[in-house]
Amino acid sequence: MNNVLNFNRLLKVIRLDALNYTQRFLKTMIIIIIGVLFAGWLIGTKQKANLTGEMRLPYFFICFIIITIIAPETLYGDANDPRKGIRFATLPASALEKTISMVFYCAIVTPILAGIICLITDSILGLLPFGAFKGSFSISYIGESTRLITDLFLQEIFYSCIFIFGIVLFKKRQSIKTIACLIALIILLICIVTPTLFSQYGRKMMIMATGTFSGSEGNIEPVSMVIHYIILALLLVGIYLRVKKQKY
Amino acid sequence: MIEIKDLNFSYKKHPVFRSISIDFAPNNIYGLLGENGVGKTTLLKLICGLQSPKAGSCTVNGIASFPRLPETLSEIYFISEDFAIPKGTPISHFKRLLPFYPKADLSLFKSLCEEFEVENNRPLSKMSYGQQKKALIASAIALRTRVLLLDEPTNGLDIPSKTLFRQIVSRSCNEDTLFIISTHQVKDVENLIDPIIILSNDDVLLKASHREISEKLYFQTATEQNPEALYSEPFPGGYVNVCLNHEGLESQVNIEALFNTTLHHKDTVKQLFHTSFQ
Repeated sequence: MNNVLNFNRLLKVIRLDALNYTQRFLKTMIIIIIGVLFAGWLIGTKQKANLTGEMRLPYFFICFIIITIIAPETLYGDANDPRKGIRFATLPASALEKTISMVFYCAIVTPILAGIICLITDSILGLLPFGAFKGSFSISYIGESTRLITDLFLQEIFYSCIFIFGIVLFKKRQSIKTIACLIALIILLICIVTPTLFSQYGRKMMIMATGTFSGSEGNIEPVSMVIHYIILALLLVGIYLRVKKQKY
Repeated sequence: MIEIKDLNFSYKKHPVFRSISIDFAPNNIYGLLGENGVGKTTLLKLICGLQSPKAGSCTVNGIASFPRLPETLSEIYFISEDFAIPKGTPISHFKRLLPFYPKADLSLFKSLCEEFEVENNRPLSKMSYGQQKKALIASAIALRTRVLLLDEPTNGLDIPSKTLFRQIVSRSCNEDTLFIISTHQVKDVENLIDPIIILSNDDVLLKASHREISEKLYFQTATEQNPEALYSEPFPGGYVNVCLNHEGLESQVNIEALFNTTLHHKDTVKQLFHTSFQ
């Protein structure tokens, strides 16, 4: 028996996690998107501004950030728990298969689904016969900035992996502890290393949010990319090793 | 099937096992007894790979149980005392596990649920603790793993369910399977567990079958305390005296009295059953 990676067994794990995903997270994701947009609409109403397509974009980013942060803890937060994690640990699949499934759902399925739900919501709002929601951010941006979307998707994978690492590292309040560590690390890096490496993502978000995007801004410096990929690889190895060596 | 060799284990600075060796063969329902905190649950966790030995080895079918390899995990199922309630219904929980256990039997699960009077379509979260436990025991048995580790399985079960539990476990044990039942409720499993293992702080005091125990110890019920007894304890109407069986007398093993005898005369019992537990 192949005890490291078996395709059939991996499919079984993915199928099992799909059931958990639909039960635990799909509804939460929809509620977050609707909730954030509703909050945006309320804020807009107070400021007498409509939640038009362009105005909706920052709110969709907020949804993305929230979903990226909470997905790993909601879906796999129990995996590290001394009591609840026993089922995860004793499931007859390898640590690699469990890790792949974890990363697949948190870092790939979640942003794609979140993106689809955002697009659908945006389109529905755009079609509503009220002036408050007219327009669609998807029509305004997506067509002209596929590269930027791809970059953001890669960034999303990167940050998802940080939060997955957080849930295998910490036993309780995993997301909060990960954010705290991340803030501490970023401050440290800003102080010690070079701030330019970590400014790309924020600048892009700002550019998209303010609508002042130009194609030349989409280039990520090769050094920054390499560092990102090295950190991503280290995170994936770290997640795998924690899943493999975790004791209960 | 399970072999533990010169195993050392500790939680930080608290030693639990010091160089213990013990093995478990199929076609047995082992009773794992010991005072609180001696490491009964830890031993079960070591067997299913939830903990790793600090030194020595713990193997299942020749494969180290830690790291948890799929090959080993598909042969073991563990129900902890403080189990987390799975989401959904008993049947949905079982169907989720089904693809991972090659010998799992859905019809057996359904019939066990019927026998235990567990509604397999009712959400587990809405069931009582006893019902949840019965559902988990039914799924554990129906997964038909070769090793079944049960930590305090009779806690929370009503009297008829305890009887049913004994019947189901004894008929599920065959030459390919073994059960290890860790318990404080010896009366619940008195006629079920054989051999008996008694753990003390960092050591195995006794591992012996009922036959071996009754060959070496004589359990006498009398109206008076026997002055020659290793250990005596009162019970309504008299005493249970545990004596050395020099004359080869036959008696029924009283596990509670055996346990107390072992705790009071650790060295004597250990010498009496002087084995490497293999």
